[in-house]
Amino acid sequence: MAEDRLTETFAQVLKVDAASLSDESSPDNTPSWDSLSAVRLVTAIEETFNVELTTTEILRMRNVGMARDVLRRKGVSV
Amino acid sequence: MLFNSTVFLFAFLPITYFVFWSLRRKNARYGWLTLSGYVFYGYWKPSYCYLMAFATLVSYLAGLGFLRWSENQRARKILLIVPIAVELGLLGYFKYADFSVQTLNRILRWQDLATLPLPHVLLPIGISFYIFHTITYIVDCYLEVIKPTRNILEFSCYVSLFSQLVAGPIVRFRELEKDLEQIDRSSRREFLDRGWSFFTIGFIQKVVIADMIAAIIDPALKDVWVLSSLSTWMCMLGYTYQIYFDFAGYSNMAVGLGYLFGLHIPQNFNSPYRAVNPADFWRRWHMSLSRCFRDYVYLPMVGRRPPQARIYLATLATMTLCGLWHGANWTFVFWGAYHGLLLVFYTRFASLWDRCYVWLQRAATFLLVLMGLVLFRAPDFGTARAVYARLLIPHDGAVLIGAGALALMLALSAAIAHFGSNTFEMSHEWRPLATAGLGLLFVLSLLLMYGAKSSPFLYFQF
Repeated sequence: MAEDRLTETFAQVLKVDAASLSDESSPDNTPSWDSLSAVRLVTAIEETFNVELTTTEILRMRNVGMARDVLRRKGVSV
Repeated sequence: MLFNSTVFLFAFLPITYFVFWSLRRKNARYGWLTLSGYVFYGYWKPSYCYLMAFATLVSYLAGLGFLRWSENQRARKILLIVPIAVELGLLGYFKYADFSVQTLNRILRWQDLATLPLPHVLLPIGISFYIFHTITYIVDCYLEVIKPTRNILEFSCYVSLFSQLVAGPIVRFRELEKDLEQIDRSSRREFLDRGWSFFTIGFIQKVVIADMIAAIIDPALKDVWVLSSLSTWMCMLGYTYQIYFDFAGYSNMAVGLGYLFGLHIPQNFNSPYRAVNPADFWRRWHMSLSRCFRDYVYLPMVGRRPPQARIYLATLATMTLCGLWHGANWTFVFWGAYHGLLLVFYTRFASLWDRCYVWLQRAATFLLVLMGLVLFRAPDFGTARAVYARLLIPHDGAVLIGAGALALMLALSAAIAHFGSNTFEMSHEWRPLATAGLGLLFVLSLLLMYGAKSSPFLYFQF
């Protein structure tokens, strides 16, 4: 499922269990989500969903739910 | 007004608290908190209130503009750039005008040219913090991370909230929005224990630990040139703990005050001296500031799919700006750049670093932080050089007055900072013995407070 793919992408980059992530997961409550992994997340999301993110969209992705929202606005079914 | 002052503890806080809970309506509570924020701030210098009101109005109007022109991309860009330029202009003038002229004069003197007169602008307390609040609001409105508020009382209450007004934490509107929306439905009793517990622990950290260490090391560090290496090490260790307990103490008091008014202020310190590497340190130290620099400076700078070199440069630039944010002095700029280099170094050699024993990683991180604090503490590079010389090369010199008491304070501070639970790890439930102990320590702190002049929090200068 596409929805699992987004969580899986986050889990892989952040090196955490996908089950521990929710739409509310953010750098504030996920210790491994630091500035470097934020950069890796962008690359991973772009590659997984075959999209190109603008700077505004990257900055908007403050938690998993917001990343999902950004992808939906780009027409990706997540 | 200082949290550790009689007027705050016995007049301002009780009046604000009881009037707030006697009011029922949302706007009345917003209005009361706004008024008390302005009284709290204006107590230093009433005219500074105009500045805060202006900064508030600019960002509030920007928010309204985002609502009005939500589909007009050109208007949205203008609404992002112009208000931020105004806010940064205020910060630039009041915080950096003298620094810029001083720096320019150095260059002019070097070129044998006539120098410019200093504008002698007085720094309004806490300007770096509330300008950050207003700027993050504008950016988040632009990014559509938050929906701008139409209620000016709600917004001015957020900007002028006295608990976080002058020294943070930097609470973004999004983090407080839900609590503000429900301010008329919050329960006074729900977080009462937690609020008083946080506040009391913060007060004790400030008055008993930070101020007592400062009383010994401040006179010594005024004349560092006569100190022995051992005394200098003790002073710098003392300062490393003083700044932590001073600022973490302030942050705990801010969190506690937030709870007393039904607001959740986020954690600002997560046992930073337990950090295992420089990156971990910045995840635990002044967390609200680190997040702001990450979200509003580093990520826009780094962009998408950056080459490794750009990541390193963005890290260095972000930390250098972070240093400049702390103070208008080149020592702060170098302190920031030093931390930028540490982060780059760690990123480059993380695989090697992470293979070391954890205790060694912790000790190395602590030592590197201490070395950086020499720059942070020193008023100029000459003083910093003298401190580094004494830390790194054995020097004979004067024995520290109060060395025994400082050694005791260092042992106590180390035990709490390295091995104790931080306030967010504690339960804060009502337990008679713990409450009585805390009460006793609070009374002791009050006695200490009256025995000495109330000292401002270190971060007030930023």
